[in-house]
Amino acid sequence: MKKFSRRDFLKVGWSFLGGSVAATMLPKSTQMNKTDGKSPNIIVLVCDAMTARNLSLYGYSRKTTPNLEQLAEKAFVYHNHYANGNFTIPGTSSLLTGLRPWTHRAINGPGKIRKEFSEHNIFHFLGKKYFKLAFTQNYWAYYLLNQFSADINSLLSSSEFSQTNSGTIDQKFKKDQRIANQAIVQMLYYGNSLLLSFINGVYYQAKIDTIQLEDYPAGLPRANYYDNVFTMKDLFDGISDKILELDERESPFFSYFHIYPPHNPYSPSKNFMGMFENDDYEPIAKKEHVLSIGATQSSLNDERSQYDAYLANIDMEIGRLVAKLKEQGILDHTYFIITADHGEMFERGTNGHFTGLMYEPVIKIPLLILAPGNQERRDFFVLTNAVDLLPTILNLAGAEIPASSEGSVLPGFGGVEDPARSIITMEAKESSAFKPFTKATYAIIKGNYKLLYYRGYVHKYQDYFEFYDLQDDPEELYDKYSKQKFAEIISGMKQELFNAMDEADKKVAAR
Amino acid sequence: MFIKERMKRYMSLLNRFPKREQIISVYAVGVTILYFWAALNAVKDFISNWSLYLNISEMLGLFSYIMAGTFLESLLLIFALLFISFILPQKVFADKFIVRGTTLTITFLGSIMYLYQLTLTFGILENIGKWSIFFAISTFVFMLLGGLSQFFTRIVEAIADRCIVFLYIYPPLSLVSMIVIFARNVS
Repeated sequence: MKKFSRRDFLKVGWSFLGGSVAATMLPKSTQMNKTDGKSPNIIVLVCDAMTARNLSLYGYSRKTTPNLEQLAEKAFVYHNHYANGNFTIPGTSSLLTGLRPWTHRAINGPGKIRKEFSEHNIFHFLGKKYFKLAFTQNYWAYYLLNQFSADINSLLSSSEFSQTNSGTIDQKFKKDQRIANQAIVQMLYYGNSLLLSFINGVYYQAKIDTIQLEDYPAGLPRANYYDNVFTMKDLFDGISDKILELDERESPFFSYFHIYPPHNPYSPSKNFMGMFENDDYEPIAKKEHVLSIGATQSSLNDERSQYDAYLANIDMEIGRLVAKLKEQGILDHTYFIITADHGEMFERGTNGHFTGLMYEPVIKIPLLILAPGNQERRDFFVLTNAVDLLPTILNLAGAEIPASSEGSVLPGFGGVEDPARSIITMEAKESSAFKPFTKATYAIIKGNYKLLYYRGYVHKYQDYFEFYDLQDDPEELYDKYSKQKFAEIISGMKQELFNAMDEADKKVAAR
Repeated sequence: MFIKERMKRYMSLLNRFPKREQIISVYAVGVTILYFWAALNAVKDFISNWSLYLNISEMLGLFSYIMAGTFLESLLLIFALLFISFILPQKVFADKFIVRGTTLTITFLGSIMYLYQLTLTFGILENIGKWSIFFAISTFVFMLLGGLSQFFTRIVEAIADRCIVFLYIYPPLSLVSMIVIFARNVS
């Protein structure tokens, strides 16, 4: 029998202590729900590609999110929340299914969740008691929602709040939407059809040019490569109108709004454009990574400034939305969750998030929860990740949490703070969804430490590790993988990661 | 007398359209280029992308949509050429339809390929200006060659003639593709 070591004792002790603290910190409304038997409404707002690293809410020196900071004063703020992937498909899939990417296998570009998990989603588990509405401007996320459509009462078109209507594709091939959409995207936007893509390009450009609005001199915000252009005001007004509509229903509602901003192209309105261009903020220059796209530091700095301005624009709109919901009294009986599907990076020669890199900016995302009745700020520094949202929401709704869920209920909402917990996040977009991963990057984070594992890339990244102490080196500048001092910790984290990978590979082999 | 006059005018308008054999030859050139491009890209996508996350049925479905789309664009191209033939004087285009139509098809589609080499970002054609210049110059040069050189004319006609064989492959493939699409959307 295994000895009960000092470490085990500490783990148990911490868990017990965490549990006790968490139990006392349950928001009043959660406790109320258990007594009055009413299920609360739940709103999830996912901002695509919103990294926690560029939010002043989390200490970023540019004032990008004054409204979120204000909301945080009466909210549950999670400081170490991670996406389970570094782009939309794995990130959103994990958030909606409560499963890690290697389980649901939605890991590629426009990939989808394995068929056997198509009912393993938040909409399904909430049951018939809830009215469920879903909206996304991101077409890849739309494929996923479409997979869950049997469990969604109202699935809005991606262009529901847009200036132009790209919803025709949604409607024409309802039974074969994903494949039809992908074919149309490839033909029209990636040049697979020589002539049609040319005609579309000329038509699209002319059409967009005619609807440039005064408020957006540099171009309207646009979702994906479709002619789905919109204004931020229309988008957020549309969302608040929908919520007001939902609130008039007898039954409680769950609404999932996955908006495209601040995903690129970064298109802030006139009032925010250029607001950070000539400030004194100087990002830390980091060495270009072999797996980067080779972007210059000055272009990265420019993009970062545009992104930050776009964030400030979104922040203002979120503030406006929440104020309206408060004014209407909706937040008195509604949980409002603000998060992202993945982050965004402007360093090491890489911009955006479609990369093999898994540094903090691309995986660390915000999580802010407004709970009805809560009047004070609660900060949580324990590690959490996107798969935790499903069990947490189910817990709030009083629904049963499936044993197959790979997340835990968030501390503050019935979960415990577990300092010994590890978070594993990954990207494997160039691996097959049907086989063990051959090309992937894994990040395992435990306590203050982070281990990166590259597998199947070029040069030394065929099989390569990096190790960072996030407390001493939050910018991940100094790789300490070869430091003897950390050998034991590294060995433990490697073992944990390999065990998880083996388990995932076994599951795939068994299918 | 009046009717005869109208008929004469009508016939002269019809003469602006090329003969059926000429249309088929030029159409074959368009079909060859368009389908070759679509199939090449589909194979490239299959190797680098589709095989990672689509099953066989989904891949066939995707290929079917692309083949059906290519058929549509081949029709658009030939109708555009017929329209040009109709509006231009008969001697300028309709009488030399195979040479002029083939030349225009090759320079037009070739210049789009060149444009895509420059950039194609999410369907935005950023270099449309460069494309226009490239297209205008290449069309002018080839049209001039067609007018001056018998050798060039023979080469163009030979290309158009040999492309006809692809009409026995690609359009029937598109027909099958349309049936597949129909089946996928009704089942």
